Amino acid sequence: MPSFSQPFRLAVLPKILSLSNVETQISSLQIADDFSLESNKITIGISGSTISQYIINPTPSLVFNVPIPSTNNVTACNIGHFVSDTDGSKLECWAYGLSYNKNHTLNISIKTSDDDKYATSGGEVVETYSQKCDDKIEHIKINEKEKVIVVVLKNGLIQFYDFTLKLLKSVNVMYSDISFVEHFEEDGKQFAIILSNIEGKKISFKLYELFTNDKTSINELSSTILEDADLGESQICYQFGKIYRLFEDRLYIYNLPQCQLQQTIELPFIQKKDSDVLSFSPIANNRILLTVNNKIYLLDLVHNSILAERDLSHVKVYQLLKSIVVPSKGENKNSKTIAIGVSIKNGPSPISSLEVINVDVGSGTLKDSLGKSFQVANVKKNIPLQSLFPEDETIYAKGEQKSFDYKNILQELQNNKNDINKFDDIFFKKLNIMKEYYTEQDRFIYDQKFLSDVLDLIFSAFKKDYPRALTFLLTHPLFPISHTRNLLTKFRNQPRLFKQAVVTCPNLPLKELLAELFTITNGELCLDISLRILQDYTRDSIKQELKTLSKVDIQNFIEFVIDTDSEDKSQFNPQLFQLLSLVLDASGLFALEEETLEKLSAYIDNQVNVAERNNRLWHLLDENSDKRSTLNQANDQNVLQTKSLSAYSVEYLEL
Amino acid sequence: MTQSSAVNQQYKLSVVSGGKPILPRYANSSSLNKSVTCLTHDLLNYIVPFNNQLKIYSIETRQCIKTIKFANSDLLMSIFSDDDTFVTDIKLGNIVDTSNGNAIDVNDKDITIFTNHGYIVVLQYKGKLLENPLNFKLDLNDGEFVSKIFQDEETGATKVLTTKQSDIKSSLFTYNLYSLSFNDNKLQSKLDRSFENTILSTWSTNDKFLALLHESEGKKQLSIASVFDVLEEVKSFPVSSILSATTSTGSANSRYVTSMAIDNTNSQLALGFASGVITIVDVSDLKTRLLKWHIDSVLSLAFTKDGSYLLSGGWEKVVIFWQLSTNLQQFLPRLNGVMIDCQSIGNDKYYSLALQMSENRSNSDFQLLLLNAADLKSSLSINGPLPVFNSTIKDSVQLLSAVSTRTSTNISKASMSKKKQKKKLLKSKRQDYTTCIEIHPTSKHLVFPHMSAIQTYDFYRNEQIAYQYLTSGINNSMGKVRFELNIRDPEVVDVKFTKNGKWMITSEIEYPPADLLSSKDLIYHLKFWYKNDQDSDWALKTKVINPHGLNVPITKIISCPYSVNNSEGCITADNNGGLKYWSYEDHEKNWCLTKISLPNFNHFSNSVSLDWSQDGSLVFHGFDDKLTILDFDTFRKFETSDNDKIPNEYTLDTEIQTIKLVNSSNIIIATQTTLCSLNLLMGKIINSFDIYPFVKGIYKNGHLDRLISCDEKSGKIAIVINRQVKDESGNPTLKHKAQIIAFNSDLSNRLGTFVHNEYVSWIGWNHDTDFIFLDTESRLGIVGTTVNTEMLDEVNTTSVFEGSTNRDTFASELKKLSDSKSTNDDEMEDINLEFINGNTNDKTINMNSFTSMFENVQNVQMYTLFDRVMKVIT
Repeated sequence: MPSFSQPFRLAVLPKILSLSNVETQISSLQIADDFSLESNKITIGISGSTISQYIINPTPSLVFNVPIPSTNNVTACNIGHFVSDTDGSKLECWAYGLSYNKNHTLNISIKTSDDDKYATSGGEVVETYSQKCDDKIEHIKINEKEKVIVVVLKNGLIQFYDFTLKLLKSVNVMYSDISFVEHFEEDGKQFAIILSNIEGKKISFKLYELFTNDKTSINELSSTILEDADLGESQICYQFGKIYRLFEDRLYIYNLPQCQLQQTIELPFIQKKDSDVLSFSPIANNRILLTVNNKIYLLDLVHNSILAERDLSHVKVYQLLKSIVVPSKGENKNSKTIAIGVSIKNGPSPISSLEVINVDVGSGTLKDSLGKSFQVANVKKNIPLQSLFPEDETIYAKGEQKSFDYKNILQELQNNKNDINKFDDIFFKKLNIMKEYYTEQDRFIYDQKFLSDVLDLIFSAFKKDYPRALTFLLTHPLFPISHTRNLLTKFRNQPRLFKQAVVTCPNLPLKELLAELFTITNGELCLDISLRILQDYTRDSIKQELKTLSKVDIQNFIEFVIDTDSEDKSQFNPQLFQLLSLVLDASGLFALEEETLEKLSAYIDNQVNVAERNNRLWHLLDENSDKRSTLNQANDQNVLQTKSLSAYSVEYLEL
Repeated sequence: MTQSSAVNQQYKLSVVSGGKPILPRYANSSSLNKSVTCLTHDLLNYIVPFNNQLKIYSIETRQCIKTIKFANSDLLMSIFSDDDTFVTDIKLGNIVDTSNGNAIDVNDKDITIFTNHGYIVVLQYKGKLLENPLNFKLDLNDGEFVSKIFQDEETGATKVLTTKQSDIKSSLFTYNLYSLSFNDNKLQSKLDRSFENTILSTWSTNDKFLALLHESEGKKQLSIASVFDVLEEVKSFPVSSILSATTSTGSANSRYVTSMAIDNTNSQLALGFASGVITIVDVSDLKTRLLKWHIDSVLSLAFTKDGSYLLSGGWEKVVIFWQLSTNLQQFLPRLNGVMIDCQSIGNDKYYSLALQMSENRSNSDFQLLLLNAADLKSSLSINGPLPVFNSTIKDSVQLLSAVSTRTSTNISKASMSKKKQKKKLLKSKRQDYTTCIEIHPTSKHLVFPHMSAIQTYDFYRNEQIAYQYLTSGINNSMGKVRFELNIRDPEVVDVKFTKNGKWMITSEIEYPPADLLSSKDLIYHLKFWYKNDQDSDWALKTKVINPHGLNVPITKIISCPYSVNNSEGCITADNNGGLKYWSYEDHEKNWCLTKISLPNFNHFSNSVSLDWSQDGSLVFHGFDDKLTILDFDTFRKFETSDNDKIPNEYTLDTEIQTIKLVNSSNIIIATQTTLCSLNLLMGKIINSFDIYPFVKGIYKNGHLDRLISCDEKSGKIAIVINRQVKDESGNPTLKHKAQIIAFNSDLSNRLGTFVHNEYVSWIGWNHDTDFIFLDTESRLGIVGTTVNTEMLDEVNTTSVFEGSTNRDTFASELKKLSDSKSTNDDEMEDINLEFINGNTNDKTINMNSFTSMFENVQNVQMYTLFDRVMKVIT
């Protein structure tokens, strides 16, 4: 089942304005790609402070950091692992882009790496490089195999560098305002999505394939321009062939590779479009994490449901930075993952800290979403039973009324709740009910809300003498489930209504039926209840329920059933006998007292004797026909019987 | 109006396929030559009338080469709009045009068709359908129908034989022979002769002689008349005169003539009796001889052109060729049905046979066979779809046998049972003529369970693809006669396919012998069949006897979605609330029972319905009036921590007839009284309709399922409402009309209502965008749209629900794209095209530079496009 855990703190961020400002917070923190369930590490470029690496388990702690000047913003950061060409030692390449005013640099630190993922030792930097860039570095991707760093600059250049920051190639994407870059792998091939702003509320989408022929090759696969969409005010994320764009309270889903708008989803729980702090991040196939201020939601975008939600009351705002996406394919059926976010504490002096939250994403199936829809029901309050052919008047007889003004009827009933006869008069006349019980003529009384309102009214207004309307309602197949609870106890002193409820009222709770069954001594009612129980509930559920009942009740019941002295027993024997066997199954023979056990044994012996006797009698009758059949068999023996080999095997299943 | 509804409005209903071959004189008990077909002069084409079209087959290629659909011509449409109008005879050539005399033109494309109501239409069997074909109407008396057209090959004279039932109760007919003439395109008819009290009639294949069995003064009399030579003396003799020579004593069966034939020279007359004896009468001296082989009623007889051979057939499903000079016999056994008509045509080059698959009592299933006389191999085998209806429909007639059995009538009950049937059709509240059909998900073939076999029918080609027996019964290998007719062969009652189309799941009922204590202990079989693409037949893989225990029927089968076990699984339900999940297990190489949900032992109902969420996580089980949600993993009722908020069970107003999960959130539930849409995510009923007047008591429990279908891709719903048509005074008639209503996925929007003038027995989704339906006339129609919804700006939301498949399409599309680009690159290098070099970068422009732009061009505004072009070239 999908769920969230309470988040835990990874680190407190330094008190820098940009880090504690809700608006700039996210862009000031850059998370590298090595954040995964296997690595147990997270590397974050923290603007004005450091590039820091933390381990998450067993205790979150800082492992290593590279300090940067306090005036510089980290605009991109990534990590690659590789093996040194010279001595074969394992190395890490940390690449990060820094910006200060109009100065943009790409920096590399090569450091030694430790295999142990729980190790807290940091390693040491062996080499560093730096390179000036034309514009802000938007995204860095390190291809470990080819030892290439792919850098995307804001001005539309895609540049390929090696690990010594030698420029290998530079390609222009033609659009100058790139603001979203995502690399992904599909079927062993590397792809990149680049989204750029175009003036006039437009977005250019481009899909590239990388490294097909050599380590600097790049092919444009598709290019689309999205109209009427502003990249600056939207949040974007990519997952499994889909781009999600969050704009105000709407989520747009685009299908790749052509970037077609597939769906628009309205998120009704985002109330204040302007002031709510939103962030979102992909987490699993068709599921995303969304935060609204300090609330976090796990949304299923296929079923439009809230799978899980959590109030992070200890903070004012929580914003997601990155989450580990659960793979949609493969053997790994793990549904647990983590996400990292940045929170701002309540209080006058805002302290920001990095917090990690554990998420169980569930199975993504209908099962998880059942009854959890977030869509605003555009349902009318009363759903009338409509006619299939409203224009055809021949279908219904003239007097047949098809719709009722429930509100008025209820009001009238309300006004007459002190006069039982008037109440009934109104009820039967206004609803056009002919009989005292439900017939198919009354199928147009379809509104469960109304039924439940009338029941509420009846139970509040009448205490001893109930109107005839109640009898009718008890026969109505749509008797609301909410009112079946404690219904039987209400009718304890109303044997007629009690019986009516037992016989016709749907959805009586099993627990109450069993309780009544075990306390009642009236033979006829006992039969009714037992019939009802056996009809409505499966043997499994009855057994389950019986286990929760008290031992005394069970004892009483057994004694009641096997009490051979009681009158009119024979007629309801089979049902009770069946229930008895269920009771014994549920409680176990050895839970009974010895005395009862003995009685039970005698009773069963008696029943077996009866069965044997009947059997003998039956055989006696059948003997004649038996003789004849043996005669025939003797004749048949002359016929040669050959067995042929069957073409397939037959297995008998004992169930 | 929203964009989507604008597209949906283009749903259309059309009857395009199916139909059954017409045996025009089948319903007329007095007429022995039942079938009408037409072989063209060049012996290459064979014209067969259907109830909705004429089909022309090429004998060489064994294929239907042309259809003349009545619906395609206004004139034909108006003639055949009435249900009981059918083609009663087809003549080659333009019978109206007498200009070229009687010369036979081999290249003549004209044919003249006659209907029972006296319409005469000249059509062409090659080339385009004429817009305004020549047509005439013969004036007929009330109750008089055209039966046969006689044409004299030498003089070209034309005569029409009409029949009229003497009165409703009797089986006697009055035959009238008119001569027709066309002067200045005006039709004139003159009554030549009238034959009263006719019991049986036949004629020679050269149209010259007419033999009639009639009643005069309480005695049965045989008369032979020349059709064209009115003056020629009628040969007439009492039946007793030939009987006395053979059987003076004996049962009624040995005196009851069931079949007659007369040869072309009026020298021999063959009489078949209910007892199975054939008597050959020499017309000149009334000498007789007996041919004995049949042991049940002889149902068809025919002489060859020269009169040297006699063909006979009946219940045995065997054609017998009697060489009359030597009394030697030849046999052609194992036909598909009881032989009810045979003719020698095309100068004895072909034999045309009409068979009836009489095991299906609910309908008259005909098959027409064209046999090559030289090698007795079948050249053509023609039949329509073979549905088995829940109860007998109005047009079906039971065949005559020596004894009265379930599948036949005998001589004394013949007229009785017909009347009884009619009364039942009129008065009975239950009007359930539904049938069970399944569409194969990949080949899109329709599969009809047909008694102990299945018929595979191609809707688009309008031809039967295969007919395979699935059970072992007597029927499969031979005909049944007399009391054998009471033996019930196993019946296939349900067919399902796994979603990948590789497996077929069938449910069968085996009947123990009648009149025993154990006769009601039916045996239920569940069988799993496999077929490779290149195979023609399904091969049995696993068979389960009584899968739900002794005497427990299988009430429902549902195959699992793609997401479960690669779609190789199914759930079966019984009438007690029990469910079993079967799946194909690779390690066992067999189908195994994998999961069980135990039944509730005290409650039985046949109102069982099942559906499965597409992601495979939940199973919906409608049992009686409760809809239960099961978790497929545990195969138990779905349980969560807060079951109060999320109900796992819904109680409906009456028994649930069918449930359809239309997309990931809505489930459509049809009960006996309402059709409603339940939103599972909200746990609320969103829309509901009253169907009580059209459903309650009319269909057998669970059969409403056959009349509601769901397009699993778009979530659209189609429901069929059948209604009996009432006459002016409000009395029910035998006619029905159907309304097919299409809804969107939550029933909030009605996409269209269509009227069909016949009872619709089944509707189903064709795994594409359309619904296919079948009516009681075996005609197949389509309710659909061919508009590609994917062209819309916002692709229909329901496509997301395919979950994993959606993801696969992305991967495959991406791969395609990436592959195409890489090949382009190679070409670019190879050809080394001339290119324009841009100023600012090293990008080259060639024929491929703009292609990506046009892949998604329909939603782009002009200046954006221009912008993109500029970006590429600058």
